[in-house]
Amino acid sequence: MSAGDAALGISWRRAGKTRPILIGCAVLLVITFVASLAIGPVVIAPEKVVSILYDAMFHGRPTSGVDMRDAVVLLDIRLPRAVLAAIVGAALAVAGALLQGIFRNPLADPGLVGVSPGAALAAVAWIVFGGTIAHHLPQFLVSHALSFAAFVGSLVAIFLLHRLATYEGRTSVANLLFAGIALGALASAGTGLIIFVASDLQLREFTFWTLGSLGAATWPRVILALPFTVILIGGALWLARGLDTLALGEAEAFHTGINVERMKRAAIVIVAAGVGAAVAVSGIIGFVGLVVPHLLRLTAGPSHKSLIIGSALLGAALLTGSDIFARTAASPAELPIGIVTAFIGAPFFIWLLRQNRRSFG
Amino acid sequence: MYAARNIRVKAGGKLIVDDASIALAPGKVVAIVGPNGAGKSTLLKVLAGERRPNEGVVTLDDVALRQWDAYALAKRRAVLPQSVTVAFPFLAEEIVALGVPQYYPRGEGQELTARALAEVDMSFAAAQTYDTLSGGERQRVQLARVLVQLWANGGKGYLLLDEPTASLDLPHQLATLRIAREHANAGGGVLAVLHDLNLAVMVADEIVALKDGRVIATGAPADVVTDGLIRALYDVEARVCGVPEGPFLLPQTIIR
Repeated sequence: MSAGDAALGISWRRAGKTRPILIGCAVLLVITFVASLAIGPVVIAPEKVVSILYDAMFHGRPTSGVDMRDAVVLLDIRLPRAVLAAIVGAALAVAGALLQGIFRNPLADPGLVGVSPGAALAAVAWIVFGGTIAHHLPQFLVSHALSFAAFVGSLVAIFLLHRLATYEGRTSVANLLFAGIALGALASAGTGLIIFVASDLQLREFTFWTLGSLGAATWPRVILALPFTVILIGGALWLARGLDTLALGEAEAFHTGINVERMKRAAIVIVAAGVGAAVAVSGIIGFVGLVVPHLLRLTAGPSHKSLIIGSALLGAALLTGSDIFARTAASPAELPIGIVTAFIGAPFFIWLLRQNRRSFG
Repeated sequence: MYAARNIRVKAGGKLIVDDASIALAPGKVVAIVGPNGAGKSTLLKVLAGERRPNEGVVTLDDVALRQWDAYALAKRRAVLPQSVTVAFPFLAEEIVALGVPQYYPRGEGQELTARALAEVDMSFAAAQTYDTLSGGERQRVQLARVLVQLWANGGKGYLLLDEPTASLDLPHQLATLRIAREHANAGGGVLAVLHDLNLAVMVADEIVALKDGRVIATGAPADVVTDGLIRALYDVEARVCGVPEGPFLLPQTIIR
């Protein structure tokens, strides 16, 4: 076992399998990322993509001709969108892995258990009603208010989920899903109601908030979502060992030296921050947080350190790839990306339920 | 010294542990015996710090247990619960390695893990998924994890065992008790909830008999385990004899 394997926190028996899988995830991310820059109404060859990126970084942009057109398409339209897809995908997948870890339950997904709908409700409420109080707030708060509102919304949703679904430290699958469905339905109804009664121009259509889209990707949005995602991934890695221990049970984790309540609170806050930021910039995109950690557990093992690194990479690759499909399949129209992820994720979810029928009781 | 004084635990309006006191010294094995629902596991959970008593105080190394944080406590005592279900498909050796403290040197942690698996006779299943093991095998893997936690912290901590032999076959019951005895002989303290009085008598330096949450007898096995105690604890008429060596129990008739 090499030092690198040790750093991943994995068993020496698993090491031979886990590392190639993580490397594979990273390669997949690079491929989908370059592909999402190359593919579109104007096709830019992959080697051209690389050379434009290289030139933009070290020499500045071309100022005329076809090169200039390609550079504009690439740097101002496709690049922020691809980066945002990667950030949101990583955030949702890692948030799913974390939620599953703290609920000790492989079926928790931010979209399925009501966390993303809670964030969307709060974001929509801010857009419609926030204007009346915005001028009372300090400027730095107003500029991040949408993310902050979404953060508060997801925080409240996770808190309620925890209260509703957990009894004496145990969260049954049935309780988690029932509570999540109820919360999600309530939040979506609230979102729909606000959008229905408000004719606010800032408010994009209902589908953005219920099925998600990366169509509004801009560099400011990337900058809005990036720090929260970094906090989420960094925090998740910091909690990884504790989450491994929590798989034994809450009492057992305490016996082993973990302050369980403190760890759960930290996990809930960073999940809320990551999901809130993701929803604020891209609406509700479901199933990424369910599919990605599960595939990794099956292949690379359940240790949270490798699970979180792999989830960030594979989640980013999955959403970048899904976005290519969402914007090209019905071109020039765009599919809501949540439809694409649902078509991948929902059958997977059904398969998962069947696999686990007995053990979930 | 690990001591609980005048512990009372209430749940659902019922007194589960009623004014129980118990002390555990390094080098000793103490067995808690008693019928189902006597409050044995609850008392163990109070000592583990997992459950706050309604009244009474627990001290470890003369410091009230409330003042120990989880991390410091884990260096001084390890707990084997009755049964542990694991949420995700971890391998047996990964479960055992969870007993290694977070910043422990990696190679030594692996050595301890391998040694503990060998100690509980589970080396053959190191690379098997925990969920696929039988109840008794899982219990042995958990014991290995608990041993690693003790060894990694100097090997002289307190070991709290809640029915460690319940799902084990005879040779592994004996092996588990041997491990407990050796831990005490090496300077640690062991507290075990045991159902089998014969096993308790074999391994323990002291027996604490619990009924309806109260301690009804405490002392050396030879003094405590008598016909009268069996009757008082279980309403079972049995004769305690000294056939092999030490007291020995044959259940005969049932009162009523």
